[in-house]
Amino acid sequence: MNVLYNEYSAILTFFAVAFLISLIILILSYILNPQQSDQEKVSAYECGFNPFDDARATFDVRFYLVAILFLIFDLEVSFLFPWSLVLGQLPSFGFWSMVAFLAILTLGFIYEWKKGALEWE
Amino acid sequence: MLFISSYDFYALLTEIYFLNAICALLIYGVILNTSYRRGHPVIEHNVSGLSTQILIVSLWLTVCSNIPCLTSWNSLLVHDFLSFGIKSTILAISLLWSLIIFSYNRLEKINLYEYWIVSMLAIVAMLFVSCSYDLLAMYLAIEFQSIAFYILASFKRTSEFSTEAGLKYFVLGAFSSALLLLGISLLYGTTGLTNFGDLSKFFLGTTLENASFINITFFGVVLIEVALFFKISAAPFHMWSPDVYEGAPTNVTSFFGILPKLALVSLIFRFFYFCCAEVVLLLNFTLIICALLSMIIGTFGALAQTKWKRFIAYSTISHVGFIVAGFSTLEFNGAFGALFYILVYTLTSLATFSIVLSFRCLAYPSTYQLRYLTDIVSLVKLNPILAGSLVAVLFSMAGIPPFPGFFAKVFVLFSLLQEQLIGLAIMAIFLSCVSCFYYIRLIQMMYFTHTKTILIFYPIEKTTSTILSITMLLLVLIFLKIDLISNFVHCMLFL
Amino acid sequence: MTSTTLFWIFSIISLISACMVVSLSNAVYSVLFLIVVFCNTASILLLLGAEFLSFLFLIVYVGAIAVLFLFVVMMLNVKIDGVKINYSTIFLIGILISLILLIQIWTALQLDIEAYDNIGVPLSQNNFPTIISWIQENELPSNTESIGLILYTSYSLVFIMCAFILLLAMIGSIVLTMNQRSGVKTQQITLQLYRNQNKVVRFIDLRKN
Repeated sequence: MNVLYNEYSAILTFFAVAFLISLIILILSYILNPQQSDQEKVSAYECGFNPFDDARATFDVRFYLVAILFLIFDLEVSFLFPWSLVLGQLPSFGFWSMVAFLAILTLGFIYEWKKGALEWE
Repeated sequence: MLFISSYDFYALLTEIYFLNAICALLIYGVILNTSYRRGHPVIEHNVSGLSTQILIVSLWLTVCSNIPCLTSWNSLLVHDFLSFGIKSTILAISLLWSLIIFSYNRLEKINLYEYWIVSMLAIVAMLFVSCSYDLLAMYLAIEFQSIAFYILASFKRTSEFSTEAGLKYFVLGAFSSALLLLGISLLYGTTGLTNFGDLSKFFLGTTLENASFINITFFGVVLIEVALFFKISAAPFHMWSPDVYEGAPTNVTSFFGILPKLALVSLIFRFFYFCCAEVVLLLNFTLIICALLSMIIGTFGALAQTKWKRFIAYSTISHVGFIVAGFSTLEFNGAFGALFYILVYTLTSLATFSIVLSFRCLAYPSTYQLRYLTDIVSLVKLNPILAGSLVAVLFSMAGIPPFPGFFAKVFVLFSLLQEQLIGLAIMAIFLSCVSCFYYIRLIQMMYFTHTKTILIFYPIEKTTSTILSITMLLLVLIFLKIDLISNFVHCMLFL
Repeated sequence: MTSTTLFWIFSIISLISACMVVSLSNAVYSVLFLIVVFCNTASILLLLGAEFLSFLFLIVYVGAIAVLFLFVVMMLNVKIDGVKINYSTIFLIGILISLILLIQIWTALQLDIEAYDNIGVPLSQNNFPTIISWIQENELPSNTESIGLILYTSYSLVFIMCAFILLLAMIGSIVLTMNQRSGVKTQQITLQLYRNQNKVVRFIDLRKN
C-alpha cells in the first residue's frame, strides 16, 4: 500500500458522508411531504404570470466557441503541470521543448486575438 | 544529450521547414486579413500561391536529403527508402493538386485562406504518418491528419451537405480512432512495447508449433487492423466514404481522394510486414475477406450510381480492394503489387479530379459544378480533348493495356496466383470486367449519345489544363518505361 | 474498505451510469450520468495510483468536455419527449454483436488478474492500510513526475505533435463557427489617447473671401 491511500481516504470519507446526508434529506422530503400536485403547482414559475416562452431558447454559437477555446488552453495548462514538477531534474532540452510548445500555442493565440474570437460582439 | 542528436533534426528537416512556414503563413494571413486599414482584403489567392511555394521548397528539401537508414527521435520515427519515397511522392502530388485547386476556390468563392493552412497541416500529418515507427507516433499522426480532414469536410458552412458530411466523417472517424486506441492499449498492456521494431522481435516464433500465444494481443492487432482499414475505406468499413465524398466541396473531395491513401498504405505495409509479421499470418483470412468484400461492394455499388463524386467513391473502394488483396498474400511480391497499385491509383485519381474539376457549366451569371454522370453527354462535341483525356483515365482505371492501370492489376494478380489464392484472383478478374462496363458506359455517353440540348461548358483554367496535360502524358506514355515506377517501388520495399 | 471493494463499487456505478447515458430519453439527464461515469473512472484511476491522469480526467473531461456536451444539448433545444427509437428491429443484431465481442474478450482474458493484487499483505486483520513502503515513497518518482521526466525529453516529438493538433483545433473551431463582422464600431483607444485638446475645436469663418 502506498501513502496515497492514506491521503485520499479522507476525501473518500468526506464524499461518502456528503452523499449520505444529501440522500437522507431527499428521501425524508420525499417521504414526509404530502404529494398532491395539480397543474398550477408544477408549471414553470415566471414571476407570477404565464411564461412567455420555453426556458430552453437556442444558444448563440459564441458560447460554444468560448468553451472550445477554454478547453484548448486548459489542455495547455495541464501539460504545464508535470513540467513544472520535474523542471529541476530535466536537461535543458526539456525546457526548450516546452518553450516550443508554448510558442506554437502563442501563435494560435495571436491568430484568435486578431480574428476577434476573444471579443464578445 | 542521451536521447536526442542533431541527426534527429536533420531527418525531420522537411517537416520542420514546413511547419515553420505554415506558422509564418498563418500569422501573415491573419494580420493581412483582419487589418482595418487595408479593408479586410481577401487573400485566399495570395496564400494559395505561397502554399504552392512552400510545397516546392519542401519537395526540394526532401529529394535532396541523404538517407542513412536510421530511426530518429527515440525510435519514434524511421527514415528509410520507403518513407523517403512516400514523402517525396506525397509532396510532388500535393504540389500538382494545389495547382488544380487555384481556380476552383476563386470560382466557388471560397474566400477563407485557412483552407490552405488546414490543407498544409494535413499534408504534414501525412508525412508523419508515412515515417512513424511507434504505436504512439502512429496514433498521433493519424489523429492529426483526421482532425484536419474533419475540418476540411465541413468547410462550406452554408451548405447542409457539407456540414452533414463533416459530421458523419467525424463520428465514424472518432469511433474508429477509439478502436485504434483500444487495440494499441491492448498491445502495449500485454507486451509492454510500443516500438514496431521491438514488437517484431517480440512476435518472433509465434507461428511455431509449440509457441505460447497471448490471445488478447491478437485481439489488439485485429482492432488496429480494423481501424486502419476504416481509414482507407476498405469494406466492410467503407460506409463513410460515399457520403463524405459527395457532401464535401469538390476541392476537398479531391484532397480526400488523392493523397491520404498513399501514406496510410505505407503505414499498413510497415505495420503488417514489419511489426506484426508473424501474427498477421493468422489474420490472413480477414485480409482476404476484406479484399473480396471491397471489390464486390465497390464494383456493384458503382454500377448503381448517378452522381460523379459517389461514383468516384465507389470505384475508390474497388481499387482499395485490389490493394488489400495485394497485402493479403503476405509476401513481398504482393506488397510490391499493392504499392505499385497505390502509386498508379494516385496518378490516375489526380487525372480524374483534374477532369472532374473542369466540368463547370455556365448558368448566367454564375457557373456551377456538374453533379450528375449523365451531364457529360456529347462532351466530344464541346471539348474533344477533355473527352479524350477522360477516355484515357477510364481505360487506365478499367485495366486496359497499355495504360498503367493494367500493369498495376497484373502485378497484383500475378502475386495472388503465386500464393495459390486462385479464387480471389478469379473474382478480381470477373469484377474488373464488370467495372469495365460502367467505365465504358461513360465513354458511350460522351461519344455516341446524341441529345437535343447540351450544356454550355466553361473553359478550363490554365493551371488545371497544365496538370491535366502532365498527367495525361504520364498515363499515356509511361508504358514505354514502366520500370521507372517499378524500380522506384522495388527500391522502396527492399532498401 | 479494501481497494477491491472500492473498485467494485466504482465499477458498478460507472457501468450502470453508462447504461443510463445511452438509454435515457432526456438528453440533459444523459449528460449528467456521463459526468457520473467520468467521476467514477477518475476514482478507479486513483485506486491504480495514477493520480495525474485521475485529476486530468476531472479537469478536462468533467470541467470542459461535459460542459461542451451540455452546450450542444442546450443549443440543439432537444425536447423532453425525445426520439422514439423502435428497438425491435435491431435488438437481435445488437445482442449478437455484443455477444461476439464479449466472448472474444472473455476468451482472450485468460490472465490471472487477482494474482497481481495484495503483494504487500497487511499485518493486521482489519484490512486497513498499515504498511507504507517509505523507500518507495522516497526514491521512486510519483506518477506526475514520471510522466514529466520522459514526456518532455524522450517523447518530445509526440509532445510537439500535440501542440500542432491543438493549434489545428483552434484554427478549426474559428473557421467553422465564427462569424466575422467587419462593420462593428469599436473604440479606437490609440486615437483617443492621441487626442490633442487644442486642435479639437476650430473656428471657421464662412464669410471670408
